[in-house]
Amino acid sequence: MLDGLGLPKDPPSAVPEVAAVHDACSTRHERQIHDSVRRILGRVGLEIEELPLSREHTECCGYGGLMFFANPDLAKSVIQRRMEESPADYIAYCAMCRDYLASRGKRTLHLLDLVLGAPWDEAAQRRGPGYTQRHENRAHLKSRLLKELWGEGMAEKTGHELINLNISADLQEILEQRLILAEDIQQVIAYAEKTGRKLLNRQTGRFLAHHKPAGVTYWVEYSLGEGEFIIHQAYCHRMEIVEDRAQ
Amino acid sequence: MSCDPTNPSDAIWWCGKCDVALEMGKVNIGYLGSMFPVDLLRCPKCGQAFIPEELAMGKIAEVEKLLEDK
Repeated sequence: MLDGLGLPKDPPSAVPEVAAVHDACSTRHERQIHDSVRRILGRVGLEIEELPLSREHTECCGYGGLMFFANPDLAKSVIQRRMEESPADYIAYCAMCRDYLASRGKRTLHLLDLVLGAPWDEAAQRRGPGYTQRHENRAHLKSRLLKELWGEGMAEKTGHELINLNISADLQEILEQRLILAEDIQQVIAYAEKTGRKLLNRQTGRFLAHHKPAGVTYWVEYSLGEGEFIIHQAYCHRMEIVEDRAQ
Repeated sequence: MSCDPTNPSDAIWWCGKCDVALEMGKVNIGYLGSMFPVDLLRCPKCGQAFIPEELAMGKIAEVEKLLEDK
């Protein structure tokens, strides 16, 4: 569409001479998209560097097939290999490709950054949202679209969604690696506080509770703060505990 | 897979619901059709079990992968 209709804004002023295009694997057989992207980049004044494997031979960014979730170490090495193919800044046109390449420190912009006139360096260097932030961004987007386009509202937050969490930056990093959402933690605390099913560490005064909302059991170590729950640790497993009443 | 009953940190856990100290006992944990009895701290009244972080992120994660790869 952008290729046909033209760009809505002036391109960013500080555009480097050369950038490399990273084609998304889902467009592998979409030659038209490959050509359109390159025409748009040409229109903003960029000389395009073709990576050794591009277009129908393009490589995965580490997200394809949910590789990052199934085998994070393999995904990291795939990203690393891809990002080392050129020292030039990359242009991606898939949000996941953009964020996965950026997650390993590769300067990567999304095509829309150019179209919308984002400052080049800022867009190239920014890290993608974390696991929880991406989840929340999607919810915010849905809420805005419902409100602004369809005039509908989303249900007010209830139950576990109202629980305030205090999570340190260090623990947030661990939660990212363990793929634990803030919402998972809220659900555990809501369940524990409602049912009383929690353990107490008499030495630290902290609680430890677990809950299995669907396939995964989440454990949360927490204490009570001023109008919030302070989270000290969280972990999870897929094995199921059979907690029979003691004989 | 078992907790270390000699570890003093294991002796400080109480069931918040029944207000009794956890005791070592057999707890069944299962995955993908397999069931394993494991020695864990558990509430002697309601059966609420305690799986420490090291066990969940260590041995349990290993067994999960082994069963998934089978």
